[in-house]
Amino acid sequence: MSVRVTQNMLNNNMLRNLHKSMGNMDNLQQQLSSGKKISKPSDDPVVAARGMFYRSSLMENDQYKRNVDEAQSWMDMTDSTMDEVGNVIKRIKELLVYSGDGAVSAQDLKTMGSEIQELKNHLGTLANQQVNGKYIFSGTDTNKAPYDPTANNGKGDFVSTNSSPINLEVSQGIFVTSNVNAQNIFNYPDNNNNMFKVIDNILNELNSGRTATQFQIQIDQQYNQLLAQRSALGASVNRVELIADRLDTQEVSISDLMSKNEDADMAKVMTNLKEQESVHNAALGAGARIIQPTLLDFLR
Amino acid sequence: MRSTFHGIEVSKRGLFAQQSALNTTGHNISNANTEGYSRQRVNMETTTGLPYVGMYTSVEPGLLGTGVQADSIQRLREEFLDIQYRNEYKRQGYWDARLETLEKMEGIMNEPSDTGLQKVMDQMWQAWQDLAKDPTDTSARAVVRERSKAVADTFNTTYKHLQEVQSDLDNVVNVKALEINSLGQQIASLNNQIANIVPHGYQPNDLYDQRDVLLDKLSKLVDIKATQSTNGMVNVTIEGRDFVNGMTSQPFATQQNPTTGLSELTLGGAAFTPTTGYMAGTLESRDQILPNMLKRLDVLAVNLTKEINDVHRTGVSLADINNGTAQGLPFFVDSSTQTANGGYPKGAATIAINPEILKSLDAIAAAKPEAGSTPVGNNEAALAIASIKFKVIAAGTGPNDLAESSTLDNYYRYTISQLGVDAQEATRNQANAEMLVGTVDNQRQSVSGVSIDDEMAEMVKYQHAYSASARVMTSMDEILDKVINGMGRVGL
Repeated sequence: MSVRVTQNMLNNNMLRNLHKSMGNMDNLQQQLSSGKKISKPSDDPVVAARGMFYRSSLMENDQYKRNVDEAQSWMDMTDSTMDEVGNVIKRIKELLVYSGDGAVSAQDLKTMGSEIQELKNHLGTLANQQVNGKYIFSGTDTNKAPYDPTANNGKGDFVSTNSSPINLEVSQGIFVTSNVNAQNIFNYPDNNNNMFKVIDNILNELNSGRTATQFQIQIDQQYNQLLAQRSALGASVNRVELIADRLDTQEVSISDLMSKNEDADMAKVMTNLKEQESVHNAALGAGARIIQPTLLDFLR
Repeated sequence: MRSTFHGIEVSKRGLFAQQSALNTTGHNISNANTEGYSRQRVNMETTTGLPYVGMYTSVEPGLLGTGVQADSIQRLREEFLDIQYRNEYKRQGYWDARLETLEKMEGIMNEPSDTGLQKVMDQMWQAWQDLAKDPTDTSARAVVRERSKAVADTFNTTYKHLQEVQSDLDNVVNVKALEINSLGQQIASLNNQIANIVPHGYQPNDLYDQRDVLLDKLSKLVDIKATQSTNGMVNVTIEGRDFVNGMTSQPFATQQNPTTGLSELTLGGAAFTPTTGYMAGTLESRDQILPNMLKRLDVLAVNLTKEINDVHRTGVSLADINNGTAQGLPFFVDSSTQTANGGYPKGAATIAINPEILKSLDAIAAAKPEAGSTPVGNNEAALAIASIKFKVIAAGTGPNDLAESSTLDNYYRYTISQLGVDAQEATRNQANAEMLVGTVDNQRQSVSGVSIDDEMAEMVKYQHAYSASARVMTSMDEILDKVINGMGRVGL
């Protein structure tokens, strides 16, 4: 026996089909308006979990970039400051050589002394260089000026003994030190023989009208140490630049992965929606045709 | 020997029978949209014939037909399909209940999104990184505090929402228990009405239909079995337990469990736990699905706050540096104590920020202590806290330990994907069950449903038979007219 089909069956089936096609349209509509393939974990648990992971990775990457920026701004400032320190020391070296010239009078030596005094003051200013209100040469004592112009009986000296590094995380578990160890620059080789003390000794000689050429070796040592530290810093800067490049690439690739993972293919969704619309229209049209006429309509 | 008016009598029976068939057709059409109505058919049978006795022989074989009578009005229904329907319907009910809960939970967890717990936690780790960049910066400290507050709030509200769903489900259990009880009473009362009629030889088709609708409704909620009893009554058992027996039904009720405060089912006064159907789905949602999620949130919250607190307490804050003493404050405290050195948070619902930190941003410890005095630029504690995001937490067997060692992020992602898988399974099963119910219902409709076309065809058939019977009667009338008024009037 063939299946009897009743009006109610037709009605129910049509309603079921309409609901289904409306559901599909709703789903596509959702994809279209959100631009995402999924809106809740049950749409695709794998996509959802990976989506969460990629979002998290993007935020981490963003943070690492911010950390790199901070490290770079410290390093740039440190580098340019050290460059200037180098210039100052070079000038002192010149003056030392000049002071050895037998034709230079005592008066000239005093004049040299006052120039070197100015240079020392400038060195002090450089040692107290700040980034965002923090002293870059005082280790982790970022709120204390490392150079105190009143120390050493008012002559001024580098007083910080803090050699702690300030580390920033620039990738998961990878840290870079954003500051240099100023002890190796301004307090080399120790507090009693540091850059400022050497200059004080030079000043002593010059102000007394004596040549100061004997300090050339010490100043050379300071200068060489400075260069060594600066090239070490340069190596760090390079490393941080590489990391910054990698973070940029990584951002692109994570965004790309995230997009592939969860972004809806608009062309596809639109096409599907169009198709679904025509299916829906067909269902409606078929409903209108099938449901309407009964035998009753013909028995007049 | 037939009577003179035999033909009229036969025609009259024909008229009556066709009329009752027409009436039934009308009844069918009227009930075309009545829920659970099964179409009815008049079974006609010929009435007992008369021995035909001839004028010249008394032994001529044969019977003279005496017409028709409506023997019974039959309900067209297939009991086997009812059993199948109810079997599938209980499955649909079960998955309906689970899906409702899981969908609500998905809404509450709100992942993946830019406002869910994952995002809030990510922002908190970022804030610690920013603080590491600049440990003396007040605004970085403020951001750490606000982001951490957001994490605590998100845990609190998520937990509370889930608990609300749970107590909502408890209400559903109560309401549905009342519904089941009422359905049982109605079935028993219909049994009663039916048993009063059936012994008199009637077929209360419409009452049967009404009862079947009730049984259908009941079958979505619990796993029932209906068996025929005496006098057209049915007995209903729920998972083998007596529910409706003839004209009485056992009370189906709830009672509050004194320890959990949740409602538990009783059938006939004894505890009852359904295994399938909407009721079972609701109970499982309330007692397993939601508690599991609450537990996982608790584990996440307890471990997250413990890891942060452990590091934070070994650090020194700006206030500590200024005062020269380390207070060892926990960052998060349990809201039940709300004291500076109060216990660690015991669950997701009770995470709160240490009141000392709420009072002063300087109480946030970003530095690890150094020998002598700790410089303010030390960022070790902030760095260590920020790196907790990637720390693999060891598994353990304690009540709040992770079952498998993983990072907190992984644990949370696993929780969400598990929720997604569960909801996906429920969606699929619910859709399948719904489709099966639809298929069986179609089959049932195919047998029992009213088709207007069918009925119209029947109507035409019966109408013509009626007219024809009337025509037979008219011709009898004319015959008799001839006999009575036309005969014996020769010469008149």
